Order: sequence, then C-alpha cells, then structure tokens
Amino acid sequence: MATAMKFLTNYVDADVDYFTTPADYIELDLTNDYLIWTGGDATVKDLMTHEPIASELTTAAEVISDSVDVTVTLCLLMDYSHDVGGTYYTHKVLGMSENKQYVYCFAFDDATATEPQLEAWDTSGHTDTDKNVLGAGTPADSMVKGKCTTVSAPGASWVGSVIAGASDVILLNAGNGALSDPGSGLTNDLYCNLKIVLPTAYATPSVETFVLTVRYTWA
Amino acid sequence: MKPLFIVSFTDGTEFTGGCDFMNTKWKQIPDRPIVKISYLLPNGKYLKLSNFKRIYQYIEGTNDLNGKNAGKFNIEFSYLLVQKGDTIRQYKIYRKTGYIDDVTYYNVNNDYILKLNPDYWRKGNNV
Repeated sequence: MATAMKFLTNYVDADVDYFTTPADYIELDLTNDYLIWTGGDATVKDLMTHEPIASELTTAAEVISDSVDVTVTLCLLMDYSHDVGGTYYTHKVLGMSENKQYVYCFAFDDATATEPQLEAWDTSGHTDTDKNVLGAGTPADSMVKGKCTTVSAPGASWVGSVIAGASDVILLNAGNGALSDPGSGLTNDLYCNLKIVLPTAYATPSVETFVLTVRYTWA
Repeated sequence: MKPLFIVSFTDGTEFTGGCDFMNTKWKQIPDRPIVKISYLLPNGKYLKLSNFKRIYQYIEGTNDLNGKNAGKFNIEFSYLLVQKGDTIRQYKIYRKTGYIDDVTYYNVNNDYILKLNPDYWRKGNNV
C-alpha cells in the first residue's frame, strides 16, 4: 500500500519529539484544520473558544516595519474539532521561528522511494508563486522560510531557506534521501521549523493564503 | 482497469502489478531476474523494456496541508528508472496527460540515484 503521512504540530514542549511524547502533538485533520500566521492580539490568540473570522484576522495581522524585517509573531493551529482541551479552537504552535527542533512533524508510516519535501504554492494547482508572501513571482524573495530539523535544532537566529515553487523546497530528511521501513507500528518522523519574515518597508500590505504541500513517493 | 505493470522472468513466469497507484504491488515482485517489463502509460498503452541490469519504479504525489484540496492525496507522476551499464534512463510520466513528460539520463553514482531506496530496485537479466 502507499505510504501515508500525518502532519502534526507541537503545542506543549518543542524540545520533545513525537516518538517520546506523542501527547505533546496535535495531528491536523487536513480537511478542516489549518494554520494561521498572525501578529495576534487580545482576540486572535492561543486557546480561542471560537474560530476566528476574517475581520478578526485582518485586525490581528502583523504590521510591516519601516526599519526592520519582522518575523510573524504567532502560528496558530486552528483545530476545528477542538479535540484537545475540550473547548479550544486554537493552539499556539510552540517553537515556531525559534531555535527549536520539534515544531512541525511529518510522520510517515512506511518507506518512501525518494526524500519527502515541503513546498509552497499560491494554490492547490501547484503552478504559481505570484503572491506577495511567496515572492510575487520571484521565489528567492519568498517570505516563507524553513529549515529541516530532523537531525538537529535550526540554530540560534536561524535564517533558513526560502520556500516557493518547485525548486525552493525543504528536504525533510536533511538531504539523506529516501526513508527506510520504520518497522511495524512505527513511523519515520521528520521535522522542520518555519517562519514568515516580512521585509523592511514592504510596499504591498496584504492578507493572503498560500498552500503548503508535502511531495513524497512510494513504490 | 489494466495493471500498472507486468514483468516476465527468465523462467517464463510472470508477475502482474496492481491496478491502483495506491497499491502497485511493486514491492511484492519476486527476487528473480526480470527479462521484460510492460509499464502502463496513462493513454492505456504499455511501454515495453527489456535487457536491463536493474529497474526502479515509484509514484509521486502531493498532500496539501491547507487549501481546497487539503488532505486529498494528488498523484502527479510515476517514474520508471532502467539501468543499462552504468547509465540509468529515467522516464517521468505525467499521469494526467498520457505522455512521457521527460526522459533523463543519470550515472549510477549520481547523488539522486544513490539516495533512492535500495529496497525498491529489482534486478534484470543483463547483469
């Protein structure tokens, strides 16, 4: 059978891996759950008891600075089924943009034929990167940065690599190639850290969505 | 539904692959020298290859983490890699058009080749 993947985010302790403490992670139901990148405020925050609406997200958007690059403050997992904590729709993704290793987890239940990779596109068509956040047609200018942390933490003040389109991707196994059989009942757990960095005095403020996708293979 | 591939062995027997990209049965191919493979193209015809040293096949898909297709696995390409001598010819087959999208040649020591899964190679009869 084809290899299956789970996508999880850490909401308890970003120094602890999924194998050791799976309870520290929330698996995204990809049909309903999603990530929110925001500056955050008194309304849009960790442990919201309702799904944020568009006007709330606009109000809480990160502000572009005239003098410095700004890393988006907060990544929230919007947990539609609010199955962790009872009534909470949002959970802060711990360690996002920090020197933390176990933040975003990709758990594969079998081997792969090549190395899995993380990509970013305008839409699910996987053809364009014209949105501002992805570099407005110049992938090298993408504001989305990432670093594979499967082997080690990203490092203090990590810069990361841009993510946009087919060429600027994050290899999730640290460039070590295809995944081997993890053994019965186990998973190959790969990690990355991500951030969005707004360039100084960027001229086109916007609220945008983009698509993160994992490309992987099986025999 | 046609099977994704049919392989013929030196002893005259055959193994038939699955009809579903999610269950190709490639890993179940017996460890015997393959004389010929017929590999299904999206237009319904088979690409027939023989006289090779070893062969590798995989399916490539994407899983969106958000957006309208989030959680729906999208199969985009299949790949067939055939080694003759020290050269590997890769057929990249775009599943939606019915055509071979690209043919690329690699040396066996190319980094991409070395990082493929060693368990998925199957041997031919031209060693």
